Amino acid sequence: MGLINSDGFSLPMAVQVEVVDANLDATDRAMEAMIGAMGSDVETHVLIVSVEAGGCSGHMYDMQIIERPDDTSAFQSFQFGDITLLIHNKDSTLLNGIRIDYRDTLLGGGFQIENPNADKSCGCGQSFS
Amino acid sequence: MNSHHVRTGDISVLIGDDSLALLHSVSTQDLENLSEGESQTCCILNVNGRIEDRLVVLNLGDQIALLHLEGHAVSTRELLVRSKSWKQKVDVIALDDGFSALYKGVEQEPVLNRVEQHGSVYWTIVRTVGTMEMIYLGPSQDIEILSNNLIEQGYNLRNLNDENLYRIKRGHLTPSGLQQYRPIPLEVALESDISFTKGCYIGQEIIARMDAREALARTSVTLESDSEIPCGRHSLQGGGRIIVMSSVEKSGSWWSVSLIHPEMARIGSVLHLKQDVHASVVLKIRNTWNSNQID
Repeated sequence: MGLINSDGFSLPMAVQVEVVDANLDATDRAMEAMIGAMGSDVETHVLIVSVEAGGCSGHMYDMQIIERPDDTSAFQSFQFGDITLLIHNKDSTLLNGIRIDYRDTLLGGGFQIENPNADKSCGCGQSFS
Repeated sequence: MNSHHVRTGDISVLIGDDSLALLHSVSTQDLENLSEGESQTCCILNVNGRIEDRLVVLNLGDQIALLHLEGHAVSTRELLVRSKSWKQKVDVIALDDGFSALYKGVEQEPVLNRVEQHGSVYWTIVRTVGTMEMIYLGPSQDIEILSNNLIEQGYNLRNLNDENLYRIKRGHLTPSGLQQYRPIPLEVALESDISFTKGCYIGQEIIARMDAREALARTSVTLESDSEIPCGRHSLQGGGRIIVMSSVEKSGSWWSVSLIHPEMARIGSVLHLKQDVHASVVLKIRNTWNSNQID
């Protein structure tokens, strides 16, 4: 089912994305928490910080531990001790200058991101614009 | 009710596994689990909870079709492309040429939000304010054949002015009214466009606050007058204001869809515009559209 078939000539829309050399920082508490989360996988895995659409402010942070990708040409890489942190070029403008912290609290705890590019942040700390 | 309207363009198609996830993240509806063969209406809001675009989303299986009801396709497509994460597989394709939609009101109690297909034409029935609209979507030549068949059956083809009148009489927004005044969905009785359980989206805080208070500051009404009321803000004699969002003339009567304080929104009420002493415009409220307005 579909309105357009493979015979049609329909190009998807695209927008130009600005890429900057990003600068990231992480507190000692955040680095300890990253080491705790990755355990013995620091050699084989990386931490990816990314931006997704959603939340009440339009953008949301996402953090994932994944196996080190073979091709990292679209990513910018940061080393925090033994931990490799990657951000995608597409997210570089929005994540440039962020500081990753970790709060050990029962409510609203976990990784927190302070973002100088955010005009507005949600109370939960996960959404920004 | 025996009329229909045809509009070319204002159609988009999303292709890719993450199409519904992307739409879910920017819209007022819970679209992540919209099943194949189902449709849903939703809004795109700005940070102040005001409508930027209104969509009918049809899950066609391999593709997701979007009908931009208020003619704001360009900004919504751009939002979708900009919002797409590098992890998401979604292509946004504009169908401004060669595809059309046909809109026809239905009176009987229909099966809502199911997508049916005949050849290259899809159709669905959605609720909009107080009415049910049957929407056909497909290649323009097929929609034209369908329109001609309807005309042979006695259905009138609504031109743009007739379409605006049709919308205003039923409390629907018109593209120009939306663009200029951008109401909040609850003000214009579009509760059916909103999921109150899906979680955060842009503008959600405003919607949640209005819903929690169970009261509106403004509500939409259809007004009839015997002389023109220009779109814009007007003071009323005896106090109060109205915002005329869209206005159209037909057979010597002016019809408009406007926002007024809910306490004044009573069918049959007569309002007097405070223009000048020589030109008093009498407005009769022909219909009110919010079920949760103050009694």
